Amino acid sequence: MTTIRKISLTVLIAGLVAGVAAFGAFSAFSATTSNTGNSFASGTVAIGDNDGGSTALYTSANNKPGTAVVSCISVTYTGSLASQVKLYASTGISGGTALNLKVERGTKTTGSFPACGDFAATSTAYDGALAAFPTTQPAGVDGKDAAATWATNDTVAYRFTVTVVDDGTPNAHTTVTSSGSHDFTWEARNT
Amino acid sequence: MPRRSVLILAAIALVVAIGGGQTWAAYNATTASNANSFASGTVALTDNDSGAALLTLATAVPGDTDTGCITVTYTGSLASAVHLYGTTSTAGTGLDAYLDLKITRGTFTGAAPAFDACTNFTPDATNYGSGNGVVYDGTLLAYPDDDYLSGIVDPPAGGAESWTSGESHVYKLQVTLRDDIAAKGKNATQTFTWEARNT
Repeated sequence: MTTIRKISLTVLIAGLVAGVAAFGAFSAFSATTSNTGNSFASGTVAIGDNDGGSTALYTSANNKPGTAVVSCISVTYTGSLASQVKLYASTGISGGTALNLKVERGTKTTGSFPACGDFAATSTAYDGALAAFPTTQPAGVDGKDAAATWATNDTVAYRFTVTVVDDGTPNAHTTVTSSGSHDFTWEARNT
Repeated sequence: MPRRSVLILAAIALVVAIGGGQTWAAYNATTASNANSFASGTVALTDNDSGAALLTLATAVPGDTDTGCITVTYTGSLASAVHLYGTTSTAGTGLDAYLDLKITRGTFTGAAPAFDACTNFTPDATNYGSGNGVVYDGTLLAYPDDDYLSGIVDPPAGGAESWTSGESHVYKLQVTLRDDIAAKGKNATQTFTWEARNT
């Protein structure tokens, strides 16, 4: 008999003995109680806007001082966890102090993107050089006034007003001052 | 055993890497507005003088006159209004009170001559108040100084013209020394400025 056969036989016998022993062990009452239906799932963080995916708030050339380009966008939080939202821009915006951006928070019920409809401002998020707009999430502009948290289905409308800063310096504007293409990002992080 | 050491090290590295990944304590999500751009327009006005003077009267006697023509071209992208004014040098000794200045706006019909000749100059057909094409007729002293707002609107009647890119006008400037003994021994130096401001 080979070693393997010997071991197999031993295991078989041991199993048989154990089975018989188990059968004979039913000699006591038992009772259980259970707490069912437990589950655990993560919450969600999700945010969206009404720009249709790729339409810019503004693409405007040949602007002069005193004439503003005004556009509005609505941002809605759809996550389940309370979050902080920050607004920041992509890097590389040019134009120095010649171009100004004002971002106001408010409410809006009419007007499809990027029209402002009945936008009513409630606070100012940013008013300064377009090129100086923060470009990182930590340094970003608060999505709500005083960095208030966002709950599910919270919507804030933003009005962007871009202007050419007036400058009477002779011959200082014989070439175009351009911002270059840039993006704005609203980033939600749960608190 | 070197192989076992390497394996242990690899295992530690893996654990550390996983540990690093787990420092995210918050979810995040973003939404964006892309490809925004904004640019200014331009305001630019040039002339063909290459830095040379338009008018020169040296050791003049009463009745002496000098005439020069200059072409002013707008190259900005924004529509603009143009005003004319001057700067009289403080180094002058008062001859500007005895110099008559006449500025006429027009075009060159045919080939444009070299600066500052007026060959082929034709005044505007419109009378702005002092004859066809005339935008100023008075003493050099009275010519407005240093200020766009008090400058002569181009043209002075019928509303300011809206200058657009590529537009140019020729200005004929003529100075004449008055017959006045008080002008004797005096001199004056003048700069003429055309200023465009977007409208």
